[in-house]
Amino acid sequence: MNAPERFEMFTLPEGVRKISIVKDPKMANCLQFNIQREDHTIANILRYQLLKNPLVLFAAYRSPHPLEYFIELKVQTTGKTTPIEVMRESIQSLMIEYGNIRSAFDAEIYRLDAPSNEDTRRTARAATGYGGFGSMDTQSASFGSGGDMGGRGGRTDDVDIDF
Amino acid sequence: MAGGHVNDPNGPRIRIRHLDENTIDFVLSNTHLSVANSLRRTMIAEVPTMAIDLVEFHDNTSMLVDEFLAHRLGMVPLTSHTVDEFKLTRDCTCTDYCKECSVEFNLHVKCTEEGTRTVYSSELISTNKDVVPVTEEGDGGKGIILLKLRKGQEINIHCIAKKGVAKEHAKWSPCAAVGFEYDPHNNLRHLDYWFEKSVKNEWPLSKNAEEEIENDPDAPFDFKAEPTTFYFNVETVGSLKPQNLVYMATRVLQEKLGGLQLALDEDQNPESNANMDDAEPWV
Repeated sequence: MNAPERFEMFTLPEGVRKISIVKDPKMANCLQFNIQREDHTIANILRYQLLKNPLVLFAAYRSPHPLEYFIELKVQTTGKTTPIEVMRESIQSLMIEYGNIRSAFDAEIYRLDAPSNEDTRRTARAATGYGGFGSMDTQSASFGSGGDMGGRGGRTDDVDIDF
Repeated sequence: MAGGHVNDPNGPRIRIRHLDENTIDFVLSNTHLSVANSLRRTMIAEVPTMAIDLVEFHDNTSMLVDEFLAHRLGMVPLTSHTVDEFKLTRDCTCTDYCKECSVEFNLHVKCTEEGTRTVYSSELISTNKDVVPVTEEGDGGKGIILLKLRKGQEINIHCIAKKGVAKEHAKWSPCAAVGFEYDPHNNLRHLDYWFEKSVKNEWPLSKNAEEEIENDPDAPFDFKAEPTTFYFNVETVGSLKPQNLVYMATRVLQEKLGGLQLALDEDQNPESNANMDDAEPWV
């Protein structure tokens, strides 16, 4: 009954900063990034990407409470750089990583679409031009499987998605 | 900058093992577990689709109660390849709902004959030709059974479908299931199997085990080894094509990271002193 609305998980309330930075007075070159409305998805990749950087001495995150939709990410670096700087770099390289995954995926779909792969060709036909979903041909796109998602609770019930 | 924290120049690799209308089986390699897991989590919970969110009942003399039917209708998968053209209702400029953030459906059926009249999801009349209930060959193009009517019973409803993500409610999930596996031989010992007599006999290897070799059990354990190959098996509910789902997941993640980048570039509050000018020098 007192549970917060589900959309609170991912909509940033008005006047709230996406990232607020808290300085750690006891550690040099150390900042805590409180990232609003994000979860393990983002925190874990950031943490790992930060740890890859040899100038980062410490990087860890926690989710303080399951009903408080923000994460705390603490970063300590050597004096050669700043936590903000390494965060920027990490975010940048992660963006590139997902871009690379997508282009690798594109290339693979393209390969499947090649005439030599007749067995998979029929099903992979939608590959061409799927960069824009709006432009996809709806007539040739046949959608399948009307599987019920199982007996989940009602609209306001707590629906636990198992991560 | 010292190297090591930049991405592997070879970059991530993808090999699609199987692709059909509803499923995709692919191997993602040369990347980190956290990245593979973020992809999985995003596909399950953060790729937007369309789903019925509001139902107005004008007439319901069937034996199912209104809220029961409303819940059933919410679960009906809707074709969502045009989901990017829609706004989220809470971001839309309209007061209630409009064409830019929703699709309306009507259903008016009355049973006038003897016997049972079965009402299928394909009978929902959409106001948008791109957003319709999912049907497939196997069900004869009829879709899902919504309810059954006897003679004299009538249903007359008006549904409003909205864009959303599965974080809010599982009905918006484009995934029926995501299979995710790495290190099928348990070389990294991330798993500690329970067994009675023999791990080998009691825990059969998955099909993915053919792709990797098992470490010599007598060799010293490499505690620095990390998983690099991830086996995905993504099954959709039909609202999105599986290849589009993977594609959209990478984009959703990039958008999230882009949002963080922007938030970092925003001038931070001065008292937190983000530029660390007066910080103690690192010793």
